[in-house]
Amino acid sequence: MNGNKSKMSEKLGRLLVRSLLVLALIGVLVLSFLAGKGHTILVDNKDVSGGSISAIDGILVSVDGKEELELYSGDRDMQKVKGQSHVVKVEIINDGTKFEKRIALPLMTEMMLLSIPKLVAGIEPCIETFVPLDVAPPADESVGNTNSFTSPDAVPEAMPLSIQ
Amino acid sequence: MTGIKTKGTQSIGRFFLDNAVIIIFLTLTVAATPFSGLSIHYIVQEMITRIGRNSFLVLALLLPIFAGMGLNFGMTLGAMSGQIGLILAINWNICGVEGLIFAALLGTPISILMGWICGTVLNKAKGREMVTGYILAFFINGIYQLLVLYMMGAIIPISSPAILLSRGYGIRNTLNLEGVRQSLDNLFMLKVGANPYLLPIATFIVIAVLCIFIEWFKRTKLGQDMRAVGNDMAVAEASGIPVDRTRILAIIISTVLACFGQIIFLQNMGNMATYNAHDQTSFFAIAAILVGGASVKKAALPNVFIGVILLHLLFVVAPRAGQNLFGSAMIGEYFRQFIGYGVIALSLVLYAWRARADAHRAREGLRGGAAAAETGSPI
Repeated sequence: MNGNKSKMSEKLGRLLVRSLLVLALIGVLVLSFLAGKGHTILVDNKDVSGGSISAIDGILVSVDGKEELELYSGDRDMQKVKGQSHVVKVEIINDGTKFEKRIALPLMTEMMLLSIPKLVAGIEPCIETFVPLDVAPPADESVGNTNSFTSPDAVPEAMPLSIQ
Repeated sequence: MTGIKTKGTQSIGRFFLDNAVIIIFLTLTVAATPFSGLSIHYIVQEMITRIGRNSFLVLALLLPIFAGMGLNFGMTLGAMSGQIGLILAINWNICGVEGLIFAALLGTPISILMGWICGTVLNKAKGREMVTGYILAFFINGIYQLLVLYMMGAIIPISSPAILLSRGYGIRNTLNLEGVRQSLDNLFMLKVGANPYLLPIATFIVIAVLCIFIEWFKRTKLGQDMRAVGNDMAVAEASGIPVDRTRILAIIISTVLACFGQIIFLQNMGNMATYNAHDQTSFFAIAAILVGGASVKKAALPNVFIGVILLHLLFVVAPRAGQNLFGSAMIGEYFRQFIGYGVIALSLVLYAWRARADAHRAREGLRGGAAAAETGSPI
């Protein structure tokens, strides 16, 4: 009887240890997913809202203390980041004014467009989802060929991928 | 006097026979190095890189050798598991070391399952583990191709167009591992010297941890059981060791390590040939450990590192020597392929030859007494 009991408790203990191991594996998997999820931020220094907020001529932008991007009016550059929370630092070259803002990116969005003029003017949202043409999901046949270049609010087109 | 001379000649002959592969390799490498025209700095840097890239995979071969299962050609199954993990990490754009951890953790349950299948099959083919593992790898390769070429994108959701074929399902032939490229190597890269040598310390730490694990594991109850099973299965069974279970565990651990090893290998390479990156994994790992002086029955940590250095030293210098001597780098490339397969064949032949010679000596010993056994047979 005692032998059966000890066998049972041994089995239970083993099951518990295995369950904990599986839970730990899932936990680390989720953590590495959240911490390592990569995003591309397009740092945009163009006029927005039909020119009501104008681009800044000559700024230095750094994301998470990485190499600074030097942008002039009408420029756009790219920064690859991982994780969801990032610090953007902007320095206006002419007068040395500095801005710093923490931005949060949606988990499953690959590419975001960060408008520096909006960020500096304090207008929200300064960040929008960007769907590049070659990764746009296939659309219906009826979708017209109206957008030669996608923008945050463009209609995605059905385009065959060129890379093989 | 003549007896002493004969004994001396025999022991020299035995030394050459025991270390034939290393001696042949050293001779070829020493001969090819001056013709390659490569600088010492370049060669040393290449060796440092290749030790980091390949050692983990070669270390994965040790446990099945301890358990008497020979060279684990089934490690390809672990490599495939690692590749599936990497494909999914790239699909979700998980970058850096986190991407590698993610791929390794995704690959772990798959490689455990693969190892269990492999171990169970090998238990049905005791004594023919190597050829069974080799053919099993071909079989599982078919399933891998089905999964990656047809099911990914169709049944398993793949969202990244960068890795998906334009037809909407199946993974592209070559994947760019940009997000995880050399992320482990660059985690802590030490520069040594004026014309600096780059030392991937983080990768070396991972390899060192595995070496410590293997040494510790050998001293555990399970490790001792493995060695007992490797020495004599019948005796191990009689002394109450669950032989089949122990053998399966050896293969599972080896497969999981091969999964991690393939991820480390591919992060260093920076791209992945989706459908054939795993094909040669076991061959080159096995060639390396054999070149390092291991055999089907016996292997230790030094064999791994000596083998990786010697094999890759020849791999680095041979194409250039071929180019300089014959005007074609392809001769060196052919030579490289020839060496890879040749080493395995030579080691297996030498092992079989030695086993027969030992058996013959043992028989002679029984027939003619201790003197005959000591003198040995000329076979």
